[in-house]
Amino acid sequence: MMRLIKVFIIIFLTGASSCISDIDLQAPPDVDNLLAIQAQLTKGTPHVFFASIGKVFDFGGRSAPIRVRRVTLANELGQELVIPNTDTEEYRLEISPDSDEFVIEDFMTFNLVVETSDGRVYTSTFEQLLPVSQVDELTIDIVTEFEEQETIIGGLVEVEKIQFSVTTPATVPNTNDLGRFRWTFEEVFQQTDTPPDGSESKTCYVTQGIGATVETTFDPTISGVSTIENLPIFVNNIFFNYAEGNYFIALQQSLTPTAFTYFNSVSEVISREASIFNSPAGRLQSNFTNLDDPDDEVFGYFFATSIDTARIFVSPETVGSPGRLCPVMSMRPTDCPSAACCDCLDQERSTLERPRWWL
Amino acid sequence: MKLIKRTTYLVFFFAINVAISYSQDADLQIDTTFTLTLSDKSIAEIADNIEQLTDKQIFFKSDDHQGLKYSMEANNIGLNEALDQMLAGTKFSYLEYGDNSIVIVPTYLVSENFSASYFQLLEEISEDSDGGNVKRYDGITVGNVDNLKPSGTANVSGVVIDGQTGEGIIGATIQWLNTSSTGVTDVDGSFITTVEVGEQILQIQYIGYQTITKKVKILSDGKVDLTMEKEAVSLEEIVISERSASERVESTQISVERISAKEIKKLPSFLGEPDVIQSLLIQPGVSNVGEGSIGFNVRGGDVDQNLIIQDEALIFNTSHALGFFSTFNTDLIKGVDLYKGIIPAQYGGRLASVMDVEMRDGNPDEYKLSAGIGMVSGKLTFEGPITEKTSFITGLRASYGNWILGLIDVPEVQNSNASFNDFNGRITHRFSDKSSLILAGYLANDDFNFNNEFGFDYSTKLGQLIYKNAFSNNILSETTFSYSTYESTQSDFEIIPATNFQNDIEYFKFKELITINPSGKFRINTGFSSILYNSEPGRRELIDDEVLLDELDTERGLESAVFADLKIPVSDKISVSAGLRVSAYQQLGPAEVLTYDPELPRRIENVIGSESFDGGVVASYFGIEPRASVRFGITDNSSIKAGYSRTTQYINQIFNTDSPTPTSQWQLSTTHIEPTRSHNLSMGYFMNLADNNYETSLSIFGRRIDKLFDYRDFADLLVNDHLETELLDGEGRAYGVELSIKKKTGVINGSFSYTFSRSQRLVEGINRNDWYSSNFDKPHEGSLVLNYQPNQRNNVSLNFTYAQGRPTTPPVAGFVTPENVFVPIFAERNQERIPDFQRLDISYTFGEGYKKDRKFRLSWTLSVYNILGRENAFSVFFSRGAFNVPRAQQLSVLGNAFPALTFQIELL
Repeated sequence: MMRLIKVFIIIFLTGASSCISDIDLQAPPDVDNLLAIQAQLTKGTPHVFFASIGKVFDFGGRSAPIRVRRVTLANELGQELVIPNTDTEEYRLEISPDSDEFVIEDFMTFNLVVETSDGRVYTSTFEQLLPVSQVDELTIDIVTEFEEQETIIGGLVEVEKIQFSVTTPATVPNTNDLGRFRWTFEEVFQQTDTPPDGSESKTCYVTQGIGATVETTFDPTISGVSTIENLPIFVNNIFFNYAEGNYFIALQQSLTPTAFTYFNSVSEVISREASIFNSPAGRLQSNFTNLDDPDDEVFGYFFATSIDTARIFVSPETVGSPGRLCPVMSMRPTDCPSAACCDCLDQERSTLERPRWWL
Repeated sequence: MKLIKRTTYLVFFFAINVAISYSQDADLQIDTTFTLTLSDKSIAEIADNIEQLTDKQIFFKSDDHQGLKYSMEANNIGLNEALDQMLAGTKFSYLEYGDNSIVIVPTYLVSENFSASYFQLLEEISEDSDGGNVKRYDGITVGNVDNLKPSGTANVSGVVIDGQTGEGIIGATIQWLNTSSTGVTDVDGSFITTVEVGEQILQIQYIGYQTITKKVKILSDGKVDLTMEKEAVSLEEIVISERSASERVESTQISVERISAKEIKKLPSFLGEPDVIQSLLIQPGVSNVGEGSIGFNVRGGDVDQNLIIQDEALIFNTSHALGFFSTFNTDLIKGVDLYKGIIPAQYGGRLASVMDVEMRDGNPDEYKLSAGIGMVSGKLTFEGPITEKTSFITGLRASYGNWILGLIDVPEVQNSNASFNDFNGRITHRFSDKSSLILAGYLANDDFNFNNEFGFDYSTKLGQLIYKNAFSNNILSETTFSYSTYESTQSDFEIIPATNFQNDIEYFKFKELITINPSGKFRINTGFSSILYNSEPGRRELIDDEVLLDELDTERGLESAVFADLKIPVSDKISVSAGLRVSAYQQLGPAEVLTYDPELPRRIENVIGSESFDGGVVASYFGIEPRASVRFGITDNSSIKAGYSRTTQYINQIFNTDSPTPTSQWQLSTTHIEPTRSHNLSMGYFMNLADNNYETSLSIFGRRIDKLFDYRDFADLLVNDHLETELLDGEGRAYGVELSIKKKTGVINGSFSYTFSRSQRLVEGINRNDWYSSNFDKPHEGSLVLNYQPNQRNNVSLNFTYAQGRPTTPPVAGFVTPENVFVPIFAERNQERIPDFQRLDISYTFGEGYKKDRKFRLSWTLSVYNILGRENAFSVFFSRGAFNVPRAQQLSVLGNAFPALTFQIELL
């Protein structure tokens, strides 16, 4: 009997596991002609309008370009601003805060009209520009999470990470209303290269978005608190980006209820994982419609917002003095295994100019 | 009272609560004339004299004439005239039976009809008597001739018990040979039949037990209790069913599946733990959304549309370990009845089905201890007598499966834990053979944590008191009071900040069920029930410092019903069962009710006012729920049945996940969340073959749910005090065909079932207001179960299950945000299907025997769940590959073969 039990346990150990595997799903027809319009009007100095207009990817990740005839921004005063056409899918326009031809003020409403070259016209609802409260404080905590070890052995290891939390008034400035928040994140980190040719090292300041996979939203109206205190908004791995000094930047936005619902939905669909308790996926509800053809589905959203930018410096000591990226070891000293180590300017949004707010 | 025949006095002592079918009237002709003068004589003396002078025999009941004196002045007159004179002014009259018998009876009985059986019995008893001494009868005598009824029939009731366990045997066949009278023992082992008085032969059969054949002399209504002993298992007789051999054909009830604990234990099971829910899933018309899901779906009904009761107590969550095991300890259950759609009137409150799990009483005669050790759980059962009239049974199960999670080479699983335990206790006290009291309790706890990402803690506490009383042989009463509370907490460590969500529900239930059996085949079930619910629908707090973030007000509701079911035997071939349930529900205050603009969608932004209720009734609903089924017997072995029922549900579970979670809130009907209602139709052809060894059936069903709700996209269901804004009203429909073939005995036995069915919904605001598939719409499903049992000690079971993939909503496109986030676009709801499901399980049990001289019995069961290691999809989801290219992937909950070894020992 013991022999049987041993055999049995061996069978069990080699067999038991759940799994995730790739499958083929047929893409339904007519998705390749659907449009995604994402546009944002940001109040500031200057005000900035940005839009991305393109066809959706089909499930194979392909996307075809769309020809746009005209993009028109309008405010509740009836003023219109035609956004200049570009060769890409991205539209950007800076608007002077002193402009009388197109006034942008808190609590005003705006909408966007997109006309494509094939005659479709998509009109957004009017979105209110809400002022945003100023961040009182950003704080740092070192937290421990379990993570799968990427080695042959595998298994779980405890990993220290850096967690950022925000404290901010929850109300919309100049009102008694509670606001709804969205944060996006950037970091600026210092990096010193080690050119292999022996030339002098440079110290760059590299800016990059780090919220690429995260949409963090919070609705204080659920709990009714007037102040958001130490709300964790982002957790990041600790690595060489923190070796020479790093600024974490949180861009705090104030959203209307409908915009909040949209971004909350985005947050939900992008965070879906393999789980037997997933809530059902839903279709994102755009605020654009084709008035001539209500069945013509369109994706994306137009909204207006103010932004408060908050920064906090993360010293290397705070995060345990992680190792630098450079120099990268190589068999041949003249090789350049890391472009950033050969020339730290050889990165997007990298500059030798220290930001004015850098300590 | 002794029955004697007086050959000289011709006096017969007999019961007189009877009538004679041989008609009598005032012109009774008695030709004999005679002369006799007697004064102030007893009836016996007068009878003696008449018998000496005539060829007549006179019968009377001596007790009736105690102390009475009679006079007769007969001068060459007929006997009838003489008797008329003698009995004038008394409370007696007389009847003639046959050519030579005269019976003196109370006058009020003269108008009754007397049956031939009645007189036949009198004659038999007279012949059996010898000078006042009754001959010894070598059979069983039932009843008393004092209570002989004029119809010449008697209701014979009794209990058939298992000689080994002392438990009543469910489904034993009662047959009075050479008559058309048959019956089947019910859940208590009780039966009642109507049979002609006189000597009859009673035969009781029950597969796997020795057949009982007894001579029974039936004098009147009475009781006969019998004990059946298990017989040595031969190659030809393998027990797979504890139900009546022909019940599926003969019963009027349609759409009911009955499963014994023995059948459940025989099926291959996940990690060797026998599972009630798994055994239901091989029945036609029963499915679930996938492995590891909670609950089951019956004929297109949602999981929460099943009424699940343990005896009479409602169970809100039947799952341990998030659905991998069920909460029912198979060592303590007697059997499971699943009513699919056509539900007896005594049950209500759910649309689709009733799962009635009957627990067994402890052995009243001897102590028994049994234990089982499996891969993930162990269990202990102890039962026996407390006093002569009181017995107990307790069962404890506990899991220790975390070591297995640690062995699985998936980090998330290694860092998870899942544990559960449950306890059942039951004390049964029998006051007499007519009344008993049962006190039962049940506790269950679960603790689950997945990789410190999310966790569930949930528990059930339940107690019930059941009083059974037989007012007479024909009237039975069952009074039940039950109380239960279900508490659940969901911990979400991944959201910011980490938060606990809790909700609880408790109820008090009272039910009175009265069963009346005026005759063996005519039966009435009637009674009433009332359930008071108290629900704590939501509470949210931070995990770290237990700061309360939000808490919803307590909700209260009272659900009551009166019901009656009649089983009417129209003829030998046709029987009808008709019932009515009238239900009422009140939402009780306090409550705050929002008022929405009737012209606009029911959204929070469209609230135009509110109304506060401090107490009292906030909202009321009623349900008139008729139900009926009819059976037409085509032959002795085949029948056609059809049924209809209307069902109403006042409490629904709120979940928009594929499967409900343990914390999915039970929502009472409110002003804005109306009860759901359904019409259910079913028709089937049932045929048994080879002396009932093969059961076949082909059924069709249809359901129209004229009120249901579904969830809007991105519905916020947790701790939401205006939940109605997340619900969309609609309707549903389901229909299908079920085929079932079962071979019950033999070295090789088993079953095959196939179901074609659809389950669809039409909800305004979803999928462009068009019909769409429900989450559990799986058109083609089938299962095959084979058992090979060459002898008692060895048994091999195989179970194959197939199901078409259920609907899913996959990502079909996407776009990239300015922050470089890829946002998937999903298809319309449930437009695609996950891959088909197939699974083959096998188990081998060896060692179990029935040697009576041994003090213990032990067995080993080796089972392999999903022996082919098929990666069946539970769900389809989206992930990003290199360069953010989206990938469709499937999650297989149990993607490999799962072997298990279970050891069972029973001390006898």
